[in-house]
This record gives sequence, structure tokens and C-alpha cells, in this order.
Amino acid sequence: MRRLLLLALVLAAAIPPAASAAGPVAVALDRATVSTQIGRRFTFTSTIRNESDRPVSGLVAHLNVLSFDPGVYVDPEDWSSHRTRYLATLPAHGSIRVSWSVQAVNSGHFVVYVAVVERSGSEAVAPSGTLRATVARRQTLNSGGVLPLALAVPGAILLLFGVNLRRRRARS
Amino acid sequence: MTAVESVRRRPATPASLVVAEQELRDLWLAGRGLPLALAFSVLLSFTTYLVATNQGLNFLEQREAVNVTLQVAVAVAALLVLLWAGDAVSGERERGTLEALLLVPTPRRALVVGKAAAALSLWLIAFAVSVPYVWFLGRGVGVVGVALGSGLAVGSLLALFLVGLGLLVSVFASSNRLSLAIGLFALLALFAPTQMPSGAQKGWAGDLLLRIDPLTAGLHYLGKVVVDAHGAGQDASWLIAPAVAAVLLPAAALAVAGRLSLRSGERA
Repeated sequence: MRRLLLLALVLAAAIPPAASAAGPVAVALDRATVSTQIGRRFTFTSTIRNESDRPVSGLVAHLNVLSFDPGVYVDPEDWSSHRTRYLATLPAHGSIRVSWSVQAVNSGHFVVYVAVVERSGSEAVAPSGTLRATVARRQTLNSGGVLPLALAVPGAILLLFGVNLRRRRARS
Repeated sequence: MTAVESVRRRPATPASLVVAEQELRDLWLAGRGLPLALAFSVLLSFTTYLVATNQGLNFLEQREAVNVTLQVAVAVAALLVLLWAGDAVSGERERGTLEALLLVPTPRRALVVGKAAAALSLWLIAFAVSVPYVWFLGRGVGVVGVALGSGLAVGSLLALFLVGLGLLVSVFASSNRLSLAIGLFALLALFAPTQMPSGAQKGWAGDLLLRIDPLTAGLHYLGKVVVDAHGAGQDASWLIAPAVAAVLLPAAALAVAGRLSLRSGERA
């Protein structure tokens, strides 16, 4: 039983992150999971490989983000402001690496993937495997402290105003 | 002691400094400076309380909360500066104190420089008041320094621009009411592009309008730096209009200050 378990673990480690192909290109990501905190940035690289015997031009790679939680609204533009890349011509069996920088804007469980389409030619979309992102909450704003602040600043100015008024009255 | 007495008693000190000192005393020790600062802090307290008690704030929204508070601070401080500068000459004219001021043996430009310093002090105090609010909202997302630095830079440019505009109108206006009305109308017109639908802001014409309006351009720059975490130099082109306006309008106000007269429209 332990040998079987060991064999399964070795096999799982040997399998590269998920790659997928549709049409002449295949897309693979350099990592399958990432754990981070809200507000932090992480990067990953996609490798886009031309699997055909002819050069492919007009490829467009696009980054997508989705949430597993139906209550979490994801605006991919918030996660990455540079989501669409127009790629140079890929020679036959050539590949290109594209790096993506993503900022975790919401907390929860998300999937990030890259899809590649051809501007002309194949109508198929080549998606990458998924990069599963787990984003932990980070308490950055202690809203409990706002009331003392909201009262203290006007209070301090009011105090100054009162002192100034007394001083003026004492003079006159 | 009035500005007139101050200038007469201290002939060795540059007149603009004496006038500035007296105007600052009038504003902050004997005038409406502290009540205005109090009202400003109440407004910022209210804004900060509303955005901070929203438990659903995510990372990006927290940056936006900082941006909203900063923009409110800059915009309201700009309004205060414009109102004070707009009152500077036409107010003296209406209260009948301008005649005594004009009889002081000092260049008229020095009088206007002194009044401009008092109006600018309103911006500096308003900025100092806004610091704790920005710090409270921005700590934890590493945006406090950037927000305060860019806010100070943009707010100072806008304050200089509006001081120039207010003084320019005030020198020519026959009454305080007219001066304030023109100033407020100009300020509303400058804010108008921010209310345009986003579709109208696209394209070269919309982009040009946003860029040539110093207020819109300045606030847009703040948004880029604070919310989108752009570098200070990345969107520096948006600061061209505020910088140009911050030089041109005060220069124009100084140029016409030499013609300052008891009644509007008369040559000195």
C-alpha cells in the first residue's frame, strides 16, 4: 500500500502543469497553484508552443480570472491591467514564453488561465491549464479605529479655536 | 493692528512679508481660518467614517477609499483657497478698507503677494488636517507616502492656480458678490469634465479636454498614482496643465496687481 502511494506521488510530481492544445498551438503554465495574500502580486509564465509544421502568425494571448465563489465579483482588469498580448510569428515547432503579473485583489479561491486565439486561420481557442490561486484575507483596515480619529481631529481644532477665542477675549 | 499699520511700523522689512504676516494673523488668529479648518475636518471625518466602516472593502477599494478622501481634501481645499483669494481685494473694496491700504507707501504687487500667501496658507493647513485621514485609510496597503506626496504636489499646483484666478477676478470685480460668483462659476466649469460620462471622455477631444483642464488633469493624476499604483513619472504629462496654470495665473494676477485701484476698472 505504501509503495503504491509512493508510486502515485512520484507520478504526480513527474506530470508537468496542465497544458492544453487546440488548433496548431498548445499553452502551458509554469505553475499550477499559488497561495498568496490579498494585495500581493504574483507572476507566472505561459509557454505557447506551435505544434504544427508551418509558422503561425497573428496569435493573441489573453489572461482570464474567475472565482469559484459565486458571491465574489471578479473584475479581471483589477487583477491585471495588461491582459492581452499580441504575439510575434511562431516558427514551426517553436515556442514563446510570456510572463504575466497579477495582483490578488479579492480573497478566496480563483482560477487564472491564458487562452490563445489566432486572428485568422483556426477558429479554435487554445486554453492553458489552470493556475489555482488561493488568496488569504489580510486585515488592512481596522474600521474600529475610525471613530476616535473622526472625533479627535475636529476636536483638536475646536480646542485650538476655543483657546484662541479665550485669548482674544482676555486681550480685549 | 491692520496691514496698513504693520507696513508703516516696520519700514525695513519687505512690504510683502509684512502684509503676509498681518494677513496670516488676521486669518488664523482673528479671522475665519480656524472655523474653516474645523468645517473641513468635519467633512473629512464624515467621508473617512463612511468609507472605513464599509466592511466589504477589498484591497483595491481601500486604495480607492484613500483616493476619494484625498480628492475630496484637494477639491475642498481648492474651493477654500479660491474663496479667500476672491475676497482679497474686492472684499477690502466693499468694506471700504481698500483706500487706506492703497495709501500705504508700498508697491501694490506687495499687497497682493501678501494676500496670496494668506490664501495659500489655507491649502497648507487643509493638507495638514487631511494627513491623519489619509494615513488611517492608506496604512496596510502601502499607499500613505505616495498619496501624501502626490496630494501635496497636485494640491499645491492647484492652490497656486486658484489663488491666481481668485486674485485676478478680485482685482477687477466691483463687489465681493461678483468676485465670488465668477470664481465659483469658474470652479464649477473646471469640475464639469469630471462629470462627463466615461464614453465622452474617450477619443482625442475628450482626452484633450481632460488634459487641458488643470483640476481634472490633477485629480486624474492622483487617481493614476494612488489607485492604479503608477509611478510618479509614468503619468507626469497629466501635470502639464496644472503646472502651466500654476505659473500663468499667479503671474497674470501679479501683472494686473500694479493697476490695483479703489474702484474696479479705474487705472491706478
